[in-house]
Amino acid sequence: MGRMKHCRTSFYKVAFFFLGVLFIASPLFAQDLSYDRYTETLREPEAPSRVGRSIAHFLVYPFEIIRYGTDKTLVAIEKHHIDKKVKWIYEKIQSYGISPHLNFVSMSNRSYGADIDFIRLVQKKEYLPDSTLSGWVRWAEDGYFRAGGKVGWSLIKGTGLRTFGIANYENRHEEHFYGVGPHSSAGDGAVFSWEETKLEYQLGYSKTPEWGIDGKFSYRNVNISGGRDGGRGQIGEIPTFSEERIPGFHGDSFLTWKLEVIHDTRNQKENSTIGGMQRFGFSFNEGLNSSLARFFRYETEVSHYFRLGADRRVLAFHFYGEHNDEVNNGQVPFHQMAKLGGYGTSPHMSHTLRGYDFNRFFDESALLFNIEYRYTIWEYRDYKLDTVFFWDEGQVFGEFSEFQLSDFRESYGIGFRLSVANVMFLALEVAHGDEGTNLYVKGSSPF
Amino acid sequence: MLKEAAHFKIFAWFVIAGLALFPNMGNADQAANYKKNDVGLYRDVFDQNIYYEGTNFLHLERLYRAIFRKKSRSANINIFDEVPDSNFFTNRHARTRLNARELEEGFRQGAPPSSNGKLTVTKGKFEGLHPGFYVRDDKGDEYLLKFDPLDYFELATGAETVANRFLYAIGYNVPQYDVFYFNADRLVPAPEATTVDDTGFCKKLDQAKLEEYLLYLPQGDDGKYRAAASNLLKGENLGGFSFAGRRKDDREDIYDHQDRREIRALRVFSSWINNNDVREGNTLDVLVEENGRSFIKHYLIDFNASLGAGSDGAKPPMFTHEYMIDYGEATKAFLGLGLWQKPWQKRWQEAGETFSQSPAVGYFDNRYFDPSKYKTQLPYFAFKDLTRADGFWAARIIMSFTDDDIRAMVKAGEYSEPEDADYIAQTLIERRDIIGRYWFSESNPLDKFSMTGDALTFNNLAVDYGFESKEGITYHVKIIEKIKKRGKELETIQISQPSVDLGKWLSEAGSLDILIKTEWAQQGELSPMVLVEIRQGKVAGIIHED
Repeated sequence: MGRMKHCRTSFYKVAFFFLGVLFIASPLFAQDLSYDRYTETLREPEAPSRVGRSIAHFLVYPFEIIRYGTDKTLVAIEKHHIDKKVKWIYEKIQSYGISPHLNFVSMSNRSYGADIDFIRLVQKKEYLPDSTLSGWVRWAEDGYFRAGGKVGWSLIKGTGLRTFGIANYENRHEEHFYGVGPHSSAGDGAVFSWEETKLEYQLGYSKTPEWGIDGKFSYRNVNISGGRDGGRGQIGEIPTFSEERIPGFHGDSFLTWKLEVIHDTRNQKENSTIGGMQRFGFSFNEGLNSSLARFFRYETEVSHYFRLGADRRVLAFHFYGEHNDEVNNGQVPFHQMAKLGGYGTSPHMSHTLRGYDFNRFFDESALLFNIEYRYTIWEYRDYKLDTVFFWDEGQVFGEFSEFQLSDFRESYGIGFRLSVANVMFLALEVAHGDEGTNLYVKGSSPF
Repeated sequence: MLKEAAHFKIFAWFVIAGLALFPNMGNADQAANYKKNDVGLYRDVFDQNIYYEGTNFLHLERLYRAIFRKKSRSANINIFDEVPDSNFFTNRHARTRLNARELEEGFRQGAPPSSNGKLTVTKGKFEGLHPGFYVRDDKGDEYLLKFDPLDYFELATGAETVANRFLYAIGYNVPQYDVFYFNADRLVPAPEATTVDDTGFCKKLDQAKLEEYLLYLPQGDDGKYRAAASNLLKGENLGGFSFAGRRKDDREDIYDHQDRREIRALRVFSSWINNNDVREGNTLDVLVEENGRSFIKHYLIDFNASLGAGSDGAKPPMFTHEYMIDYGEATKAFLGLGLWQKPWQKRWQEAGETFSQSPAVGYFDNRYFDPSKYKTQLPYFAFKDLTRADGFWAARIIMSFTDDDIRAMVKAGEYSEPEDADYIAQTLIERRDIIGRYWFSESNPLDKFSMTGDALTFNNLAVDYGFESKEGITYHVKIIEKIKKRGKELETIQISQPSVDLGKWLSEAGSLDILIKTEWAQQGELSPMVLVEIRQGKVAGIIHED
C-alpha cells in the first residue's frame, strides 16, 4: 500500500515536472520554426561558371599582367623587408652626415646630389654640437651644377652669435635671357651660361629664434658666356643682346657688403599655417678689376599665412620687392638684376611668376605679389594632399619713375601638393599667363 | 609476338615507374597541391586602391550593373536566405545563443599561456616601434604575444581580444586570443631565436635585444607586461584568402568570395566593432584535419585596430570615414574648395583635435557614425557589393546580441578601469542599435516566417526591437499561385497584423508565392519586398529583396 502510494507520488512528481517544463518552454516552442532555416539546401547549388566570368572580364586581362608583376614585386618587398632595409641604409648614411638629394627641376629633369656634414662623418658631433663643417653638391640632368662648403660656429659661448665662412661654385649652362625691361618679348629669347664662384663671410646674431641679423661680406666672380644652345640663339649672336647694350655681358668680379634682418614666425618652414616671415636686406656691391659694377641693392620679402578656421584652409601671401641702384656712374650688371619668372625654387636666380618662363623678366627693380589659397583635400596619417589656387602679379622696371601699373604681368593657376609630416615632396602645378601655360613638377613650394 | 611482348614490357615498366613516382595518383584528397597565397599590405593597397579602382568599369558585368543599377545577389545563400555553415562561417550566437561564459571565452583551441614558468621566445618582430614575440610556454604550446603602444596601455590588447570574441560569436573562424600578464624575467630567448627589427635585417634575438624591445612596451602598476596572446593555429599555413575570386586548389571553395554574404557583410560587422583594418592581409587559410577530413579553413586574424585603436595609438580621426586613398572624398573636398567640412573633421574638431578619451579606449564613439558610410581602409568590391538583403542578414545577427551579451564579450578585454569597459560596452550597445535601425529601415525586416494552420505568420524585427511602433503599419501582400516556373497573381490584400490567412488560396493552389512589402506609418513609402514560398502548406523558401 505504502509502495503504491510512493509510486503514485512519484508519478505525480514526474507528471508535474513535465507539465512544468512544457509550460515554461511553450513560448519557446511557439517560436520554433517548422523548417531548418540554416539548412544546407542552397538556392544556387551549382558553382557559377568560370567561362561566363572570363567573358565578362576579358577587357581586364591585358592589365592583369601589370597587376601580377606588381603584386609579386610588392609581396617580395614586404616579405624580405626591402623597404625597411632601404630606409635603414638611408638613415645610416644620414647618421654619418650624408643626406642624399633627389628633386624635380621640371617634368623631364631631376636634380641629384648630397649634403655632407663632415663633423657627423667623423662622428664628432657630440663634441662639437654647435660647429658646422659641411659641403654640398648638386647637379641637374639638363641645367646646373653646384658645389660648395660651409664652416663656422653658432651659439658662440652660449650667446646667439654665429659666424660662418662659405664657398660656392655654380655653373648654369642654359640660362634664358629675353632682354631688359618689362616690355621684352618672349620671342627674343637667347641663351647664356652663368658660372659663379663665391666666397662669403657671415657674422650674425639671434636673440630669439624668431629674430636674426646677419652681416655678410662676399667676393663673387661671375663669368657669362654663350651657353648651351638648346634651340635658341646665344646671347652674343643676337644684335639686340650685344655687348654694348647689355651691362656685364662678359661677367664681373665684385665685392658685396650686405646687412640682412629676418623675422620668422612661421610654424613650419613648409606648409606653414600661421605666422609669417619678413626679410629686409641692404647691400653695397662694387666691381673689381675692370668691372663697372657699382650699385646698392634693397630687398624686402614678406610672407604671411592665415589659418582660415582650420589647419586645412590657409591663405598665404607673399611679397617681394627689389631695387638695384647704380652708384657714381656704376652699372648694375644684367646678371645681378632683379629677375621674375618660373616657379621660384631658385630665388637667387628668378622669383615666382609661374605663367612665365624662368628668368623671363630682367631689370633693376621688381615688385611681386603672390597669393595662394591652399586647402587639404586628402589626409592619411601624416600624408596630406593640398590643392592650391594661386595668383601671381609682378613686374620689373628700371627707376621708380618708370613704374607703371599697366606693366604688371599676372599668372594664375592650380596645383596639387603632396607632403609627409608637412614636408612637401611633390607638387604638380599648372599656371597660365599672357605667354602661355606652364606645367611644373616640383619637390618644394615657392614660399 | 616477341615484339608485342617487348612493347608490353616497356609499358609495364612505365606503369611501375609512374606508380613509384606518383604514388598518390588517383587519390585526389592526398594529392591536393595547395599553393600558399602571399598577401601583404602593399599588395592590398595597390590592388584595391589603385588597380581595381582603375579597372573597375572594364569589368563588363560591373559596368552593366552600374548602368542599370542592378544588384549582385549573394551566391552562397540557402533556400531560406541564410548563410549555411561552411569553411568560412559557422552560424553561432544567432542560431543557438551562447551563454555569458562562452561569449567571454570565445574560441578555444587550448589553454592560455601558463601563468608560471619560463616563456621561451622563439622569434621576435619589431615594426614601427612595436615589438611582438613568438613564445613557447612550459607546456610546449606556442603563442604570439602582441602588445599595446607605449602610451596606450590596454588599448590594442583590449581591442584585439574583444573584437575576437565578437567575430567568433558572430560566426567567423578566428584564432584564440587571451589577455595575458607576465613579468619580464619569464621571457627567455631560445638559442636559435631571431628577429627582424626596424633595420629589416634578420638578427639574433638575445637577452640584450629582448630587454631593448621591452623598453618600448608599457607596464601595469605592478610592473607586469600585458599582451594579447594568440594560440598559434594548428595546421598548414596557406597564406591569406582573397575577398574576390576563389582558390583554384580548393574544391570546396565554389563561390567567388565577393559573392559570399559573410564576406560582404564583414563591412557591417566591422562597422560595429570599428575594425577598419579588415583586409586580405589580415586573413589566413589553414589546412586542417578535423574528424578525419582534411580541408582549408578560412580565418580572420589581427584585430588590434578595432574599437578605438589604431596600429600605433588611438585610431587616426579619418579612419572609418575614408579609404586609405579615397578618390570620391578627395574629389568632393576639391570641389568644396575647402569650405566643406568632412564628417570626420567635424568630429575631430568637436573632440578638440586631441585624443581625450582614456588611453585604453582610444578614439571611439558614435558621433557621426553612419552605417551606410562606414569605410574600411581599402575599398573591396565585396564590401561595395553588399546588398540590402546582406545588410539585413548581418543586422539581424548583430541584433541577436543583448546588452548583457555585449558586456560579457567586452569583459574579455580585462580592462583595469571599470569605466573603460562600461564605456566601450555602452558604445557598442548604442552602435548595435544604430546599425539595426539603419539596415532594418533599408530592408523589409520581416523574419521568422511560419505556417500556423493556414495562416502565414511572421515577426517584424523593427517592431520587436523597438525601432518602430506597430501602430499604423500596413503590410501589402500579394498572393501568387505558382504553376511550375510561372506565377499567376491571385489577389492583393492589405493587412495590419503580421499574419496572413491563406486558407482560401491554399485549398485551390498547392504552391503559393507570398510577396510582402511593408508600409510604415510615418514614411508612406513601401519597403523592399520579401518573397515567401509556400509549398504543400509549408514555408519552403524565403527571399529578401537585394
